[in-house]
Amino acid sequence: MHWQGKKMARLSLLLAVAVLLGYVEAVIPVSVGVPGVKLGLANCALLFVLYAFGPAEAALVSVLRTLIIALLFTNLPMLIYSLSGALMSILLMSLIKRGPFSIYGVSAAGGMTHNLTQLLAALIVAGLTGSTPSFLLTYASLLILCGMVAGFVNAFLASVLLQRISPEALSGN
Amino acid sequence: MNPTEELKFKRADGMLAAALLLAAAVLFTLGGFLQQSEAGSDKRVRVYRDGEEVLDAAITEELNTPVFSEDDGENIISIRDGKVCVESANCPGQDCVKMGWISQPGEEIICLPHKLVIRIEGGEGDVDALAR
Repeated sequence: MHWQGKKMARLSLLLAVAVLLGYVEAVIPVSVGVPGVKLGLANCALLFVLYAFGPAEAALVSVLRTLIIALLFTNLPMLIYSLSGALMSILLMSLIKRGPFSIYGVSAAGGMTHNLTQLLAALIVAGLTGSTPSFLLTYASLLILCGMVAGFVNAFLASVLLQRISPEALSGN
Repeated sequence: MNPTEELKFKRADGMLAAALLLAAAVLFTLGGFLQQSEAGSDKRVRVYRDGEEVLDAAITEELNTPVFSEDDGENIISIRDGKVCVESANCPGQDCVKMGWISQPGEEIICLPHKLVIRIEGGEGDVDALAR
């Protein structure tokens, strides 16, 4: 990863978009009845970076986005959840991308991993006092389902963007 | 690989989606089963003689005990495998014995001659627990 001014400017722009998308979602929440579940529109921007630039750039944008969101809007415990979710998700997406999957499979796997990692982090950090095993299993199944659906939606949005905006023009070569 | 190829839904994506759906379904079903056993574990068997509680036992227990009432009345109450019944009784009608096993919250076995009520309380779906 060598740094050119153009590339840095473009990644910064996409980082700003990712932060903004997360903020828009926090201001206008779309609830589907499952607590903690949202569309995760910011992932759309991250997918764009992953496909137009690469895994390293996507991981960088993802971590920076999480830090900025935490600094601006939330607190330390939230940072642990979101950072673990973001890191695991980008790691798995980069791995799966090498397989026979398109952006849809990659995004769905990422969404699911993001959700399940946060649940795991919540279990470790907060102990989720009082939750029964049956609740955790049911919740995990809903998180897998929602992560997959949200992943497909984000993949569709990102694929439209990637087709309209030439990746070559953006990657700064 | 042609970059636009990566943007089209592929068979592998469908298979991944199917696998995730299956995993979610399995977890959901497992959760449902677990919830049932969790709800069942706090069910209690309560026996009332003339409105007064004489026995209180968890339905998970294994128990075989007589409950005595006036005029030498005797009902042998048996709790086993999450169910309860009156095994034998010396009442004239034997209705309580004929009622057999009960296991659901709210179900009752009644022995009128001995003024005995055997009821399953607690657990999910119990009207009393809901009203409380």
